Amino acid sequence: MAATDAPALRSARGGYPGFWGMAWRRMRRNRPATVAGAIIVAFVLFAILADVIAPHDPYQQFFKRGEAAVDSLGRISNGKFEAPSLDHLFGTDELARDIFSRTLIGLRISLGAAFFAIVVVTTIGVTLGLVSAAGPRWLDDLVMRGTDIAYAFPDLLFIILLRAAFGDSLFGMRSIAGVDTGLLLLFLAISLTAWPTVARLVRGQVLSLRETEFSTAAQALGASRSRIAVRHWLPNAAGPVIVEATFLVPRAIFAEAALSFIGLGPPPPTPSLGLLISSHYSFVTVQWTALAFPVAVLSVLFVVFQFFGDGLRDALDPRSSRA
Amino acid sequence: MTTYLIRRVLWTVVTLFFISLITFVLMHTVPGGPFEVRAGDRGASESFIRAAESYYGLNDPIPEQFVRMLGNLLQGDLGLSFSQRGQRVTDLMLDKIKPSFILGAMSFAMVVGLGVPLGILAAVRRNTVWDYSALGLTTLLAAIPHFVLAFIMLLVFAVGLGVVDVRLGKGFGDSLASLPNGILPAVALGAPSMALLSRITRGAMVEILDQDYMRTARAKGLSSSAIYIRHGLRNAMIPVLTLLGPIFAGLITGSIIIESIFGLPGIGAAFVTSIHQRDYGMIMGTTLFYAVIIMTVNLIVDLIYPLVDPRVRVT
Repeated sequence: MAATDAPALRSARGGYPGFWGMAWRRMRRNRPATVAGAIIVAFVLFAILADVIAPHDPYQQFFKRGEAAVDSLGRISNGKFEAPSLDHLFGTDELARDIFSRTLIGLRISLGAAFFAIVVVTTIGVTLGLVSAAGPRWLDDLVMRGTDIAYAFPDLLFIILLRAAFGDSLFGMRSIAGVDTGLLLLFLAISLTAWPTVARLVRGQVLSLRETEFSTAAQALGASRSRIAVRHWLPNAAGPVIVEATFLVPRAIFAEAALSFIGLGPPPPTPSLGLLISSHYSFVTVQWTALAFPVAVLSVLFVVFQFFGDGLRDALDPRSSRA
Repeated sequence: MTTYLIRRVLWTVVTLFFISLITFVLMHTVPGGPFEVRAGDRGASESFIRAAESYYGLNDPIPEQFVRMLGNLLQGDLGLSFSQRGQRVTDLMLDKIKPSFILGAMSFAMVVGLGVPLGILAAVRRNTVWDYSALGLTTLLAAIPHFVLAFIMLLVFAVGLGVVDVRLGKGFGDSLASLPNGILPAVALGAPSMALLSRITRGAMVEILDQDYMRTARAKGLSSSAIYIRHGLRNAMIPVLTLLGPIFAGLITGSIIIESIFGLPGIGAAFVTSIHQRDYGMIMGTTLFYAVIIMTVNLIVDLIYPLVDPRVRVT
């Protein structure tokens, strides 16, 4: 890099940007990732404010009788399978419920559950990875053979089995902290297939970090093994884990929708995106827009998290950037 | 090499044991036994359910059932099906594997036949409109969930144009005439893999094209087809070849949803039915079948890798 470029690298505070500062810079230069990030922020806001934005109660039925059932053109409509209108932006479903409001709630469920999955997966994965790399040999063997078995077990099959075995309630509770138990258990099942990747990732990172000079230096300064692990290894291994966690979101959303489609999703009437898609699919020949909207939301969600994840990977690991 | 192979195969057997143990525990945890679930719809008597359960040995202690199942499994027997009376699970599975296998093979042919040439085209015509179009197409295909693509195709071809039936997978694999019905499912199933393969091919090819020996080949006056195929493609194929194994395994074991959407009578759709019906033999058989495919493919890839890339040694 030319010497004249150096001042431009300085941040506002006068210092040089650190690892995360550089990553932030690279991220902002990546146009698709920035756009994806903005859309994700918008989606998260929509999900958080779903109650406020939703024009109708997602469970209310808008059946029409008598005079109200005849529209301005003289056609008869009982309120079911309505096409998109100003009152019902995405139309109404087979029980005359407002699809727009239901999709908003579905978005909240899918995103919330995906973040739940991230927390579970990174907690299990990072702990096991760290323990595996830093702990005794037999523990390492145990964890790694465990990941071998998990890799050989077909993902979707395992999720379906777990889902069927867990059922819809836990200790007789149908909902935990306001969240449907069946839904929570479903995402727990999804999480249980994803931890091996994170565990192997962290283990590999820590094994190479253990050989670095700053690690030896910390040891020479008298830092305890656990302090080195938490203060020095973990932050340095964080990048790939964050990327992996981002890719977990589309996978979790995909698995939820796929399971709903084969009748093993969260129990109705909870309007998860998967349930909306699979139930609207049954009347696609009557009103195809009812299917198109939730599918579009799901696809956009899927796409933006992939782009964002790709961008993050390039930003956090400059060596991997493509030619 | 031989010790490596023996160790790998032994470990595969151990893994299969653990997978069958986990599957066994999980499927017995699923609430409701096979006959309670089915009898509920028909109003069968309590005594009938007990009789059926004792006939299939479902009242024995769970560990005893597991050991008995393992014993039968070692002889290649998965027992009788609970849902299809009098049929052996192994026979039923062979019936179901055929359509899934044909679908997977069709999809694989499409993935390789389109993905690799597209990647080469994008690499050779780097940073032109060809490259960018390929990038756009593959990004789109990789980002859309495969069942969404299936919906879109059904909307266009079944609902819009009306050229195919909504459940066009019915009877797939029974006759030659039914094979064209597999095209849409195969496309939906393979699109993400096709995109991935084409991106990997492009990346590998671009790297090779920048090598000094490519310039040397050009300077020697070789024709461009000789340069691209003999010097470029052969070297670029190493990462591509190792990806083909997992892609093939993924296509065979990943068709659960696609089969259900198109009503295709394959092993994936059968697994979903067997879960609903608590057909223990079918659940166990499908899980082990998938696991064997995944592990066999991984083993083959690990064995082939040193052959195509002499720099890698098996230890």
